[in-house]
Amino acid sequence: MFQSSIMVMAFVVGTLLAVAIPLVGSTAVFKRLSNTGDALAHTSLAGVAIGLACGLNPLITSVIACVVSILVIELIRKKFSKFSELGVAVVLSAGIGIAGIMTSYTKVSNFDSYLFGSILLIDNLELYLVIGIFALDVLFYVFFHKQIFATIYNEEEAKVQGINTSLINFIQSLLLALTIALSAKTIGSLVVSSLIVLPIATALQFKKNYLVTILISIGFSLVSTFLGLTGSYYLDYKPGSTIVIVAVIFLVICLLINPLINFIKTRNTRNKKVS
Amino acid sequence: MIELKNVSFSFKKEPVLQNINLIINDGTFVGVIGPNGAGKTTLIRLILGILKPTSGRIVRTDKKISYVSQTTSLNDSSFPSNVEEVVALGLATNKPFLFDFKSKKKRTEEVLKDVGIYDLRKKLVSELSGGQLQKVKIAKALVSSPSLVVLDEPDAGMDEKSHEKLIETINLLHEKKKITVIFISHHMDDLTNADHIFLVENGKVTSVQEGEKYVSI
Repeated sequence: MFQSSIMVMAFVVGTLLAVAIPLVGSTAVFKRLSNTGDALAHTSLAGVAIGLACGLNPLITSVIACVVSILVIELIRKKFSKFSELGVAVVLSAGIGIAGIMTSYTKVSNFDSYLFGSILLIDNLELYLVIGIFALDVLFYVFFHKQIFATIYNEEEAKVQGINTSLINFIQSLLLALTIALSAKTIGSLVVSSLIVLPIATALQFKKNYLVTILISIGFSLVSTFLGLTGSYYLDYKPGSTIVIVAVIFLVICLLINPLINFIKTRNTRNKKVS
Repeated sequence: MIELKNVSFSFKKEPVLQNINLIINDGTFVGVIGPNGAGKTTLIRLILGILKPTSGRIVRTDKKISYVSQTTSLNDSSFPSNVEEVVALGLATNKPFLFDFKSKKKRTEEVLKDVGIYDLRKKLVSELSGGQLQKVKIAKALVSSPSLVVLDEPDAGMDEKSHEKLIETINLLHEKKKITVIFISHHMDDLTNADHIFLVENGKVTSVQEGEKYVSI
């Protein structure tokens, strides 16, 4: 499998995104805004459709669409603070609508590769962009993880203790938008939002602290990507879809095993107390 | 020192606080009481700079401020974090949090011991009782060695025993560390150690004189 340079490239890009996506996605999940990823994925699709219809680079139009969308979501979130999910719903609907209309002006085969991704057809520009966004995501989260955590935990208290919460929120949102836009071509618009939620949901089952939960989610994301790519190579499935199915299987296994482990732990504790 | 000069605040053109004048000196323990919806939290949010006054001026000389807000954190019930992690959050500023791990860990452990929750340090916050969680919030507020701590009804939802212990902890810390404390409470009994008590009612703030009784609502 690794004799093929295409597969090597797919594994490199897959590894970088498998680290970057749960990293930026975790904040959306912890803020109870998991649907943000979904909304951005759909607007990235709208951006791709606009790019293809207007003869522009779809990757660039997808990035612009995602950045504009996250700004709109944040604006609506501030205006209607009690209905933070409202902005997500508005952007998601607009994304689907625009994507649907603009596809009438594009070739179906071109557009399809953005729905489920084409990680096996990555060009050099896309590789450099993925390396760039990976580096930005990792640097931001390594250097500012406490500020990010404090802002998620209690924004008002974080602001009073001197953290620039508006800037932290803005950078987080921007990185989320850029990561999703750049993942649309490689993993696919329809599956990238799943990769934001699934590894974190799986990691949450382990009931560990913040840092360990993030690391576990990156671990699951990496293993899902490696198994998904290997499976797609041998079974000739679409890589993005195979990766997501593997991630779903991991989550289901954890959901089934966890109650069993808890039951055994409780029984052992009870037995110890009795003896 | 904190000084409010002719401060007024309106929300959607409705006056909430009108023409407030007060001074809080360094190292004092100030209690704030008043009926629900009187504007106690608004007064605190103005002092902290979260809200801007509609008119008037606020002078604040304290640099290191900690706030224990009334609202339960959205994430307390399900957020994957342990006590030690949450308390250490109080040390975060705008600077990257990458260096000086040892001294930050040492400081966190000191505060955990001071507040009496050292044994709970590895426990997830979602597994704590209401009283334990409030202690975590107090420890988070104290870990940065602030000169001003603002507590907005930190005893909400606590049972009587936890409540008594919390008040004891706050009084002890104030006496030992000489921190300026602003404590919003519904109970006059909590404020027996307060140097000054302010009553917020009908958009006005008045000083409760020594010996004067205020019936909590």
